[in-house]
Amino acid sequence: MFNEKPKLMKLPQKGEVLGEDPLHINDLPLKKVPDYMRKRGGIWYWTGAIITMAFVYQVITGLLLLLYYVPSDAYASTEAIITTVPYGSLILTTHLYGAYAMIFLVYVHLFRNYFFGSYKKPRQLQWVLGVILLALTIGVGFFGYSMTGDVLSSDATDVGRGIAKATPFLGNYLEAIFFGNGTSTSLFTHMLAWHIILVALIGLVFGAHFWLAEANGIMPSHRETNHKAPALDKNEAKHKEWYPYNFSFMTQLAMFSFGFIILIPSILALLAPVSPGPTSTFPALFSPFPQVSPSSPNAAYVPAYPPWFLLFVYKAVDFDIFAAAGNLSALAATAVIGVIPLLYFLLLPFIDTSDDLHPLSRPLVTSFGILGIIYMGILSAWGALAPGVQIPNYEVFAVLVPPFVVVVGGMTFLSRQYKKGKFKITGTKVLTSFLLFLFVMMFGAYVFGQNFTATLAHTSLLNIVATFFTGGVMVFGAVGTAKSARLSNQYETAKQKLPKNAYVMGKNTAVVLSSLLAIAAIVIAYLIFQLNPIGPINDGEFGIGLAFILIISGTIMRIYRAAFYYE
Amino acid sequence: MDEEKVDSGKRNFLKAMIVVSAGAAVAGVLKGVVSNVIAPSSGLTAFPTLTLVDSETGAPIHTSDIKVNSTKAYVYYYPLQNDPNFLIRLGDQNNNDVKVVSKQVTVPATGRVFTSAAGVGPYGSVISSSAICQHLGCVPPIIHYYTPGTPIPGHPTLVSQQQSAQNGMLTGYVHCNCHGSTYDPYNGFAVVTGPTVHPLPNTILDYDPVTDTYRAKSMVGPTIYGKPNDLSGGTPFSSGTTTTAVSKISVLS
Repeated sequence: MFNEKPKLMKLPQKGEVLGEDPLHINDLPLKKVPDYMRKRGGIWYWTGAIITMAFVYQVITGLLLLLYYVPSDAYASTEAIITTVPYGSLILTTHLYGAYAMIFLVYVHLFRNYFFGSYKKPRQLQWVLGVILLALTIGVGFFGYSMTGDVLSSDATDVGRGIAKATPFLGNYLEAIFFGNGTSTSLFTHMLAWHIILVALIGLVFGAHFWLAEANGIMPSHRETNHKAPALDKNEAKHKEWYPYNFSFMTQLAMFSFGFIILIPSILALLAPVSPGPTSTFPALFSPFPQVSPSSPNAAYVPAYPPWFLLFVYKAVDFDIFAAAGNLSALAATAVIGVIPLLYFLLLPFIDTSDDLHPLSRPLVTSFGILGIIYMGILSAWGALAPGVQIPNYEVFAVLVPPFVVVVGGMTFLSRQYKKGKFKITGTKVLTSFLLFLFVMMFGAYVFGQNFTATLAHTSLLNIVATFFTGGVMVFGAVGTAKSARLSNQYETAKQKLPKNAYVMGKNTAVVLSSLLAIAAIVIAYLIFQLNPIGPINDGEFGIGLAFILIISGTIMRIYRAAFYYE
Repeated sequence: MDEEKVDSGKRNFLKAMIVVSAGAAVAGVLKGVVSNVIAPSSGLTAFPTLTLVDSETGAPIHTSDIKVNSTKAYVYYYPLQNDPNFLIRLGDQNNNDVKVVSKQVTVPATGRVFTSAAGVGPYGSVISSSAICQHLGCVPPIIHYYTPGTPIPGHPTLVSQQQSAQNGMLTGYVHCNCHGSTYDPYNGFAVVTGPTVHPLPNTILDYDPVTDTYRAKSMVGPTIYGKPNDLSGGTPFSSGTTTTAVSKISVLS
């Protein structure tokens, strides 16, 4: 009965003013999607949509900041945005965290589609455009981060300049193109300009990326395509209309996305010092505010971090292998850690041309993906905990080789089992074998961690890395467990012919809950409207309130969908 | 039939709740955006009094910290965060302090006359002015202090003229390398050579002999270059600020 499709009324009924779909959203060339994409576990089909929402948020807040940012007076004008502009602190801090969210989600989107095999035909060019978008997003992030003119951004700028300048033959041109003629005003004007130019490019490339996504159609669940490319949605005509089903889902998604983008930095704004001094214990990596100016006496207390999304490159510069390159060390590290993976991603659809979509039938590709995540995690944590400490070669290998052996070996073994048919995605056996495998893997990682600490002298550092590695494997294990639990769930579902993954809510419960939530939203709105719009603390409180109102709106939309669409 | 009616009633109720809560969200966002785009009036209503401190140590500047005829420019920001000022301890060609007294200075552009700021400090030799050239707004190190006797580019006879006018005593000039404007710090930063037609605005300093510290108090003379008035058109120091940092800038003569 839950599958029954509610009737659509095309014309305004008696007593209705506008009728269904007054905006003709269904006439837009948007692909309809199957129900399971809006149900439990369906969020993985919408990682791109959430990035788009973060991007929209960034463009809006960025344009507002553009009204107040003064490149010739970068640091003072940034501070003035926080302390003197109405809601300036809210907009600046959420612009930073919106960027963090966007970069993080770009990685999530990338790896989700990587493991899902979405780069295969007919989506090769869509994937290539996506990789270009990743590079552009990180570029925008770098320039945006450098624009505040605080001590961290000065460090980041210097490193970026150094890398640009060290490029053979083109160095001086690259530096002049991206960082100007050397004066401070030229530097900040250039960074502002490139920040905006790259965003414009993101907009263009995203347009093409989105067009291809719509033209190629949604990539259906692997079960529908039997794990073989080309994965095409053959049932589009049978899906529910875009409006109101997907429309309400997207609205809900937007409210939640904006809500969390505003909520997190607003909470941090109440915890972090606006102008950190020697006694400040708040980690600079997560502060939503700029640090002190480079000329401030407190500048010495700020550790020289790059933005967190570049920490892994930053740590690689400390490796002896790259240090051997002398002046070129930063460039060499960037090339090896940054450019080579990027090229690999760009070329991937043309390297792996098989039609296998299952991660286990592509053991090397899957291993490289897992390793990419593990290495990024290890290097980032390493960079955060031991910034600027030179790392000898044997230690680099001791940390980076074991994950490689474990992951590639484990994957090859698993893949063999899978291809032999011993590793079937059926029944509760899935769960057992998965858990067993993960247990072995975790145990192995644990032993490796112990080995590091025992064999090498740098006990504390390696302890940390080993712990991190074990932690990473455990997270992987948790994801695997959840995944296998879902698979066995689907197996049960298939047997019972009942969609267990739908959220359903009683209509009376829905009425009571939604009215309570709406009252809460009104009360919060009343409270935050009393606040003074100027100053970081007031803005933090306003942001928390506004975020809760957005999350409440999204929740009511969620309740509506559960009660009336059975989704 | 009845059930369907109740159903659509509940449906509409939930829709109304969505509209209410989304309305609250939209109202919040609108309030934020609208208040944000209205630029707050920046600027001050009165000159702040700021103690001059060392940009490296944060400690107040004492007379001994300011070198006579320094070849490095001492620059601090006043009255707003983006208005650079020179701090000069004026001396003669033998690096002895020169007492600077208030004079009547003419603004060539308007003919208006103002009373220049007198030198302060134990020898009356510490003076200050805006460090933005009144011609087209060049800032240090392009505009800077030329030590006594240093020839001014393009005006080879200037030094000898000064020597005869001041009974053999030489004092330095402030000269801007952008377009060649020259100002005389000994005479209230009056115009010596064009193309500028405005003297540099004088910053009035206050000296505390007990603690041997200097404070910037206000400004006289023309308005700082490029601003509607001295107290707006820039970023004020945040309220509660009592100091402004003096940094040493290397200059090329």
